[in-house]
Amino acid sequence: MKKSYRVKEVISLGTGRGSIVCGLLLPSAEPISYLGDIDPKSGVLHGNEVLADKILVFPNAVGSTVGSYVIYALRKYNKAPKAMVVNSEDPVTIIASIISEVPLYKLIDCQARSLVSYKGCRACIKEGELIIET
Amino acid sequence: MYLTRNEEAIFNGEYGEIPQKAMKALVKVGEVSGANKLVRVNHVHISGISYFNIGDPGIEFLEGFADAETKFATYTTANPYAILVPYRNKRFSEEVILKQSKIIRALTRMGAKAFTCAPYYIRRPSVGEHIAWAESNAVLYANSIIGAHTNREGGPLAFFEAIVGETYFSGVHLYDGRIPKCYVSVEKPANYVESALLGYKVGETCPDRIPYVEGLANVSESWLRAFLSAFGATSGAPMVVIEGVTPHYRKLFSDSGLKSKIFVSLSPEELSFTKGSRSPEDAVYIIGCPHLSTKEIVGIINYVLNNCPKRSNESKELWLITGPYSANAVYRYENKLRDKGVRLLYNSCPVVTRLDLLGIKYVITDSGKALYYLPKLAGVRALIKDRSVILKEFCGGR
Repeated sequence: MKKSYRVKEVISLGTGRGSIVCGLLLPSAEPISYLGDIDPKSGVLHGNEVLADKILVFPNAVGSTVGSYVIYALRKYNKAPKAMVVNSEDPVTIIASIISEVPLYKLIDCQARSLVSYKGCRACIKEGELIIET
Repeated sequence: MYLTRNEEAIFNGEYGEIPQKAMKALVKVGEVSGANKLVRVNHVHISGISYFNIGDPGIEFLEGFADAETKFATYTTANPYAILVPYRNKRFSEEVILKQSKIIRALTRMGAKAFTCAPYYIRRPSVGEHIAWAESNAVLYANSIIGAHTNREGGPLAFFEAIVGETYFSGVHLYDGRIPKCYVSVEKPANYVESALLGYKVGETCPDRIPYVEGLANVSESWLRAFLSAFGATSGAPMVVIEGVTPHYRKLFSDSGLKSKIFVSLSPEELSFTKGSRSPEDAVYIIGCPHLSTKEIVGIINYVLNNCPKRSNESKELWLITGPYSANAVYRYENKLRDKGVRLLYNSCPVVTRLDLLGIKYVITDSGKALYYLPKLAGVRALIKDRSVILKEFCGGR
């Protein structure tokens, strides 16, 4: 079965129209403090969630503005997620997305926490929709 | 957002990939912040300079831009870097020192003029001037004491603003964004450390809103800096409207419509622990967060030269930290001070240094900001005491 949610493209990074981003869904119910919550060398969130090639969904970022460099470090260590999907975009996340070339999307009509049960499901983002194979 | 033709050309990549990336970042952040245009800035201040904070990927990021011949489009200063001097018999590895100097060199090549957390002593902006500064104590000083306009920028964002020479026109760049939303009354502090602790508590009282603060009208600049830098540790607000200090404070207050005030004071316990607690034997004394003004450091040096005894190498140390603007006034005292266990440090910052790697366990400071950040970032425990108590204790007066 497929579930679909509307998303708005915030940073596309030249992937252009008709492009598709796919990966396994990694939803977080809580906001993420990049500096502290993510270890860029191992590419792990909260000590046990692998970020590489995932579609990371979370409400918003909190904490230090140096956090943008943590996402950039994930890219440099080949541990970056495929995309970030948030409820509200903040300057630290926007800058993180641009310098790390991780596309950024915003959920329009659903809360990140309500997607927690779809953890590990295959998901794709295309044409303004996040489609989850449940 | 409205873009001029030239801004649009940068956005579309007509000036190359790097300005395009910077402009894109600026426009996106601007859109999210509700800005309808960009505004030229005369001074950008960048944070995220310490190797301990940004690591190898941060070096790669900055060197990538420097190698591509990127030049800042406006006057740019940067935060202090890690303290790289040895302590007793311990020193940082050659690798750490080399990597920190790579960061400094990359930023200098692009046009960074100075490394300090007090850029207002390098180039003082004017009332109403638009600037784009990262570093919370500098942002608070610029908005609250000078009356310049800057949002509280993050490190990489300020870097992009330096490349473009502009910022997004929202927040405290607009008059309406400067109107206080939280009304606080404090009892006039009696010394430096009380000012810092009050700042800390007012920040907790107004964690996300600009406060209007009465009770600080006749407080010295030094104490106001103690107040504001500590405020910045517990509040995200970019400004404090200080009665009798902040330009246009009367109008800002009357336009706020604020009525009911919150009284903030220090409890007897808070007052006593700044004086009474015993200092651990192996502690390092640090004064200079934010960086000491030339007036402050000259005053402290005079006190030390007149009151402190000579010491052996292995006993207590006092570190005095300032920016490049004080060097001419104080460097000639370096040797004399060294004999008394006092070290002058320039352009660097203990909070962004892994002091634990130098074998340091405790720091005694007069700074509310350092008290907050040292345990989180520098790997040491911190105690706060008033500046005069620290000097007396260090010189053996008690």
